[in-house]
Amino acid sequence: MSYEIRRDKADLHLDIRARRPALGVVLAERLHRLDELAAVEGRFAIRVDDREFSGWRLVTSDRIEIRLEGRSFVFERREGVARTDAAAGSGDEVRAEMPGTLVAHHVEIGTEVALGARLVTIESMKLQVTIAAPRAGVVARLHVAEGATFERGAVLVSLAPPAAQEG
Amino acid sequence: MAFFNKVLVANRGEIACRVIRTLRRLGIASVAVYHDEDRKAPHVGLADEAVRLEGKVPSGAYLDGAQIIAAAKAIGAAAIHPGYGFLSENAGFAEAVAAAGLIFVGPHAEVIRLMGDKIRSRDFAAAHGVPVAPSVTEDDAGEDFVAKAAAIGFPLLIKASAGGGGKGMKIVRKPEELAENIGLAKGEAGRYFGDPRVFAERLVEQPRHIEVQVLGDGTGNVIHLYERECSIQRRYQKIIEEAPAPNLPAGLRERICAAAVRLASAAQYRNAGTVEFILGADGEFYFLEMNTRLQVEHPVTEMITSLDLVEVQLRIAAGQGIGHAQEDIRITGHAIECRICAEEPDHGFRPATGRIGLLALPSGEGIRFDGGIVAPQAVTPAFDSMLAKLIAWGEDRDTALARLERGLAATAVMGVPTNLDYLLRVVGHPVFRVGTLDTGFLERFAADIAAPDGDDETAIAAALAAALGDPLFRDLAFGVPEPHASIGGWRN
Repeated sequence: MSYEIRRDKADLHLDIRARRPALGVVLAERLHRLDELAAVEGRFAIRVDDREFSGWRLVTSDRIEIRLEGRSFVFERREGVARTDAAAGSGDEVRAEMPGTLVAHHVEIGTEVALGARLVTIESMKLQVTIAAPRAGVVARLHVAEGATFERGAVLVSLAPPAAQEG
Repeated sequence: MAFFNKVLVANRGEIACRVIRTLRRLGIASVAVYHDEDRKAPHVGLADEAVRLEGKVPSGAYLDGAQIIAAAKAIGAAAIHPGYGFLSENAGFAEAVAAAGLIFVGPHAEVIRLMGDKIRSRDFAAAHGVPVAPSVTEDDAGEDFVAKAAAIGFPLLIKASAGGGGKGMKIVRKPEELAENIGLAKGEAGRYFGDPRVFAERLVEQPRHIEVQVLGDGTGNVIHLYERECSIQRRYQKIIEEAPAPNLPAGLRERICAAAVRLASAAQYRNAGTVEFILGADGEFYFLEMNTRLQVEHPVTEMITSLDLVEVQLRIAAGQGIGHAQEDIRITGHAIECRICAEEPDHGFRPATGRIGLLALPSGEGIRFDGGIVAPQAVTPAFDSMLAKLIAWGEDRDTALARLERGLAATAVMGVPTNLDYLLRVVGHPVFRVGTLDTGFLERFAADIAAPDGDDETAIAAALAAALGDPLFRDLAFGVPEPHASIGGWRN
């Protein structure tokens, strides 16, 4: 699901792809592993992928300011813009947003899936992420075998329209 | 030994705090004054006593000499320290303080007047053998103006006698263009100022701003505490100052300091003061002006001389002399100061306001932070935009620079935009690092010093840290409310 925040008049989209064991967040087309190490009275420490950062954070009603490594960043909060990707995901092809390895299929060809059903689990940047169905449908094709690698943008799963409702 | 029992500090912000700190250290009772808008400001709490000033405009209260003198008398202060700005170079105030039977911690009113007048101070300097930029006025030269101007040498600056703001100002590089440009300047001067008179002056290109700290006891006895380099300026506003000036030949340093002492001595200067010069690439230096007060950048001099200039000011004001001889003054190491201002360098340096929501101050060896701010505190347009100064000292310039960079990175003033990032970029510039400075530095390297695009690792980390500070994001990341949990994420 995505979260938006503004910096310098531009929207930044943060897509939460994993929660455990660490947060997996896609930002600027890259998946980042995010660990919160500390947050005490305006001081924070986080680990992003393999690098630790510590700085200051000031949260006000409409802004979040960060001072990090001698630089100041001001973000405008955008209340209520969090949304699921399902609304946007009406496509028939489920694509990889980053290169990685396919860990497991959770469906077979012909499986009927609901919106949000687990399709496949992939691993990128040492982080496993489960890809969910962007809409209801029937699995038409699994493009990448378990254990195989893929590039960013590769189609992982094709969905056909759901079977017609009976009765 | 105490110089006074009680001293009123007629100022606010960082300089009021700085003066009060010395008063406390010396066991002298301190009195702060404040406008209602400043009632929660640090200088009020730091002083032993505080007097509220009435005034419709906040800055007007600090400029109300009669009210301040009355407050000093009522509370039993023996002397008034003016800090810098406000009443510090107001000759009338200095006179009024003396007339009220109090002591003004500063020079004699007559000296303030002399040095406050551009033409008179320049003539005074020239008369006492202090170099002034060669110039010739139309009034003096008459018919020979063009020839006498050409004799100064090129490039030349033609200025309107009545002028300002660049109107009627021409830079002339070639003799054959002189007559024409004088005509143009006169035309502009006449149109803009109703006075066509102009004068010609030697143009110093890419000058350095070098100033000398002096101490005088009022009887002609003057010593100097060496120089400061203040070439990092934006629109004549100093931003970074250091002492000693880097890459200044020893002989030149001696001549500049001697000229400053000569001027202050001739004026029978009393108090700490600063004689400012411009220094050309050719090693020629010219008198600019004398500031008859403590300066914003005085800490760099204190750091390399281990003297407390406020203490010396008080000693001199109390009639106990300078307390130091020239041969006792030694430079140890190097010090650099940055002025931290509420402004937006990435948006034309427009002044910024806001509420300081988070304040983190640097510490460590060689680090000094002169501030007058606390969190939470509103930064309003009522006063100057300078919030604080960060000063770093080291055994040598490189050490001071490294500490300064660490100190700037360890400083956080959040809730109001500041120039902290900009200062770090200036200090990190390779040309600044080698100390090849002149007053055109910030303009020449503006592109290098501009803010970087924010798509690197640090910017990514900042965005992630910001998200973690937002309850909305935390809810999504940690709250796992259904049905969101069904979209992506881990399943157990």
